[in-house]
Amino acid sequence: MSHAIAIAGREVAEKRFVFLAAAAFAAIAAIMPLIPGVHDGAEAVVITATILATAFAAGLAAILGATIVGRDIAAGRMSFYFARPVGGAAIWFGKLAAAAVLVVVSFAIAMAPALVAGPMTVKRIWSGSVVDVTMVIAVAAVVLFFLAHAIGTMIRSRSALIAADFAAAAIVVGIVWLLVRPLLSGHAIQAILVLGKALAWALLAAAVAAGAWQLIDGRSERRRSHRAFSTAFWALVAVALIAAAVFVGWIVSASPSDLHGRVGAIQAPQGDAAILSGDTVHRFDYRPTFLGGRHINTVAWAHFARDGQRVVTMEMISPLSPAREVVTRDAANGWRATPTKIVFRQGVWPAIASDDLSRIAAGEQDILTIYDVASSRVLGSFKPHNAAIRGMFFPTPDVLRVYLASPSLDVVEYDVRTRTLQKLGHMESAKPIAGLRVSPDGTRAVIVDRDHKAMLCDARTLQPIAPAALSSRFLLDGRLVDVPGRDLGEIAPGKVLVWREGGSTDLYDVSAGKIVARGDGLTPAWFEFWTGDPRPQQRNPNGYFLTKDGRLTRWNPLSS
Amino acid sequence: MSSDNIVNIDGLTVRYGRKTAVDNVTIAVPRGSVYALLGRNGAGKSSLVRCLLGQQKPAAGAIRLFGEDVWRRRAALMERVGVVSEDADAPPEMPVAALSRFCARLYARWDDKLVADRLRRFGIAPETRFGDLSKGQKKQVSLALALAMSPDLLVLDDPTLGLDVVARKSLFEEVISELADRGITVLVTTHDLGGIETLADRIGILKDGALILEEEMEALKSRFRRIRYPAAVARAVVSNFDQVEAPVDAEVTPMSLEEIFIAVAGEGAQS
Repeated sequence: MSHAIAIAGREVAEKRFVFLAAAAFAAIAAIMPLIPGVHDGAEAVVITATILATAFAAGLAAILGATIVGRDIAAGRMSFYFARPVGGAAIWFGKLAAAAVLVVVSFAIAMAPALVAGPMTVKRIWSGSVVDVTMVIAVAAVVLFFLAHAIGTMIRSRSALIAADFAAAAIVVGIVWLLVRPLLSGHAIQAILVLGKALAWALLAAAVAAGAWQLIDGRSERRRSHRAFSTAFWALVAVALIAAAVFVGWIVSASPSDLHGRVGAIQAPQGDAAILSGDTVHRFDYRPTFLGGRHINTVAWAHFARDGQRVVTMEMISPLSPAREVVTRDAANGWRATPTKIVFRQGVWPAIASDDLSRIAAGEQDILTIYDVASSRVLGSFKPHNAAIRGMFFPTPDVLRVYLASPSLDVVEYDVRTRTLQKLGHMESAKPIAGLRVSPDGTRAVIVDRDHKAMLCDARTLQPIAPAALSSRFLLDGRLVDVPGRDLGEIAPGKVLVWREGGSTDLYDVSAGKIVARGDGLTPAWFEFWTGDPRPQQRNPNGYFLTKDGRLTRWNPLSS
Repeated sequence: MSSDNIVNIDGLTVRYGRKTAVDNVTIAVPRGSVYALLGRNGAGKSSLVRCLLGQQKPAAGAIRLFGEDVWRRRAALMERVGVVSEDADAPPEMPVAALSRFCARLYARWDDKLVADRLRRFGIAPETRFGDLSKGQKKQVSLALALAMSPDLLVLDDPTLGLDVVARKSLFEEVISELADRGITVLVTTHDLGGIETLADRIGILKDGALILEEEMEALKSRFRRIRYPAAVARAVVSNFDQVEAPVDAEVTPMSLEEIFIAVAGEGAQS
């Protein structure tokens, strides 16, 4: 320790001329108010001093990093230290301490006019975050110092080992990307920040330790010094990466049973298949997405086949891009992804699939396009001018029916065989409608206006048939019934799940006209997005729910 | 390997890539002796000294100072070793007095007065910056610093390189006086064969990295003789004197170290 202090003192004394240079920079900032045309002298001093002090500190850190050890070794001056009873670590830490003192004191000297001009002005110019700005400058100086030291050591050795260093650096970057990618896919920004900070500290520790080992084992020989530095640095970085891999491995090892809190599910109408996504216990903000127990890309939209054995999804291609690709997954294939090359660069809304999953329709940038999933071909598209899509579905795989509100309601059908758009009906309205429910066969519709009046209409022509109850809805068998509460879908003939405000799910038996099962404290876990299909939905009877304490659970009201 | 040896070099090999700078050299330096390691430029002397001081790791072999591995225990061993290196490597901007104060903080035993006395004898002002000194003065300061902590071993790596005759004499006189006072062990590499001839107890000659001769000075001198035949033009015959029956009328005189060195390590010499 005393040797390191002695060496630090000697190094500072040797390079004390930098304080004079810093003082010269300070003088430049101090005379700023004397320059004609400068209105706010204090501000000019602070801005100039900040720029000059930062540049000086950064430049000095880089120069010291490149020279404080590397130049002495190359010039043969390190033997002066090595001929003394001084350990390599003491030499390194002495020089490191000297560099820190030189940079910090020089920065303080160059910044002195700003502090004299007014600390409050400094605070104002630095956006009130003096500590943050100082930290950024300190981090930049540290990075520049060690980067310059590493590069200086490598270049001065004139050794072929530099190729191995570049290869190692490329491998490290690749590994870091491989580690970060699954976290990005899981939107684990907080976990990435933790990992980034940990890796930054590990790199700093590796650079410090490698510098010490460079002098302990490399001593005054240039090539050996380079080899010692590189060996220690990359070995420590490898250890850090292994630890990081363990950390990432632990995070991505989350299974559906770890989902907790904000959880969403897209469940097949039958069977066990479900796309689950949500927060995970003790894994920062990692939000994985699962299908059939395996991790899949983040799903923006999905539509299961009625038998629950196939699904078509829109999934994020890359964690760094908003682009989404339509993907099909098959239970028989272990739910592996089959990309379709149907890619959306922007957000898509709404999207709908035909019942046989052979066609999808998606709105992108005000244009509604129909795709053939198997061939990825565009079958047709049209632009619903000045109208909002209030609902759409495929009555048959070749025909897309769309309800448009402008605010009057129009119903159109696009036939992909003839590529023609046909207007079927029109309902005059001064305000956009509040609700639209269409019978499973697409012949009748219940339209709710803004005045909370419901009307049964012809679903094609929109001609009124008869007034309807506000809470009336269609069952899968085509019956129009009145169900109190928020309809969540039918899980069996005549058995409708309804959700009550306050967080409870009930099973309403239409025939009995009453609630027959109650799931107290259970909130449906499925995604609350609007599918765009106004027809009644069949729900899986064994659905996913969230308990009051945020646990994901399954509940089958038919067996309770 | 005697435990009374201050320096034990065993099978030392130093390589730079494919080039072998020191090839399987074994040297022992007994306590209190002056060992002169000679060799032409590029013979491997400096590489050997760097390894001896624990500054460079050899490709093979072992070096022990005071019975301890110098590579592992360098920092501790340097407490007992004074070094005057080939190049004056002290920081050029430091005044000599500051240099002495700095070194004093590194050594457990340090005598500032010894430094001051020697500087006075050499006529060097303590406030002079090291970089402003002449080559000879730098070596003198280095020697003063090397002797200030009363070393048990003094390593002089070509200490008289580039010095004039007066400076050389002054430097060697200082070493001789230290030898007389304390009987320290000295290992010196030098090209100044005349200067070392009266100082060295043992000679080692390196040629192309190999130790081609190692012998006590007395034995060496007695083995190498100049033989003059009165009837002929004077000519020197280098031979193993013990195995030569000198003619009765021949004049036999001792050879200088320089003559021996040229005979052993010079151009065309059989090694």
